[in-house]
Amino acid sequence: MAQSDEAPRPELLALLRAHGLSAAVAARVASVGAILHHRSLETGAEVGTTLDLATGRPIGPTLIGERDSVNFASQFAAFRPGRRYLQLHTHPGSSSFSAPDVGMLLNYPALRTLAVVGEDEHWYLLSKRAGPPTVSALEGVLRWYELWEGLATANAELITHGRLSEEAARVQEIHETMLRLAAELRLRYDDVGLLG
Amino acid sequence: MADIERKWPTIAESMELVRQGILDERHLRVRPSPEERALLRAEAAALRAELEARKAAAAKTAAKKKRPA
Repeated sequence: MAQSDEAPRPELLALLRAHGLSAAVAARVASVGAILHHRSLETGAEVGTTLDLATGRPIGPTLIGERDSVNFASQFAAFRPGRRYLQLHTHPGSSSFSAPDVGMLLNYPALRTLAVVGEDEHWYLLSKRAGPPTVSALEGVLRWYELWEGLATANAELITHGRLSEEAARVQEIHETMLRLAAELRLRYDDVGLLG
Repeated sequence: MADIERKWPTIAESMELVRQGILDERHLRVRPSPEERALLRAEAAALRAELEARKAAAAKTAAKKKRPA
């Protein structure tokens, strides 16, 4: 995979390091993320890949999905015992992690970190901390929906009274869901936008 | 569910896609309607009840095993 010509943002590199990546792998992930973002804009599709956390190398070709979906089955099948991985993909609507994203992270023990890049180049990072997982994938997905529902109920009131737009509510409540979920499930969650 | 235009996957559908390694995130572009949210809420409540019942049964079994004969 070609490297991106753009210099990675220092705040993004710092956050990737905070998620346990070495300096070299953090730079690689930032570069690959920039490439995926361009590919996603070019193709109009969701794109993704999985990188080996020790080397930063993608374990397969870039996956080009459809407008809002991408199939990682071939890369999950390429996981090797004893290795740990970071999955990187683009996101429709520039929002934070979906319930299926959380389910994916919890369902595959070797998957340690998820990174998404939004259409607006906003990055979101989610990592497992050391130790055994706190909940099953099903419980994580269920909890995502439960937390989201509480926030959506509060926002619905604001939308009805014209104090919040549907669009602002959509992005804000998914981010807030992830903040609460990560704290409950002992996951590390961060985001960084173009303005830091 | 047939009468409601669904924009979000159910929890069961999300889990099935996760098992297949597929991320389908078209729902991230929209918020579900109040009617669709009610369906998701009902599914979540039923699943939560099922999970809690399973946990209670497992705890009961573990307690039985610990008890001296």
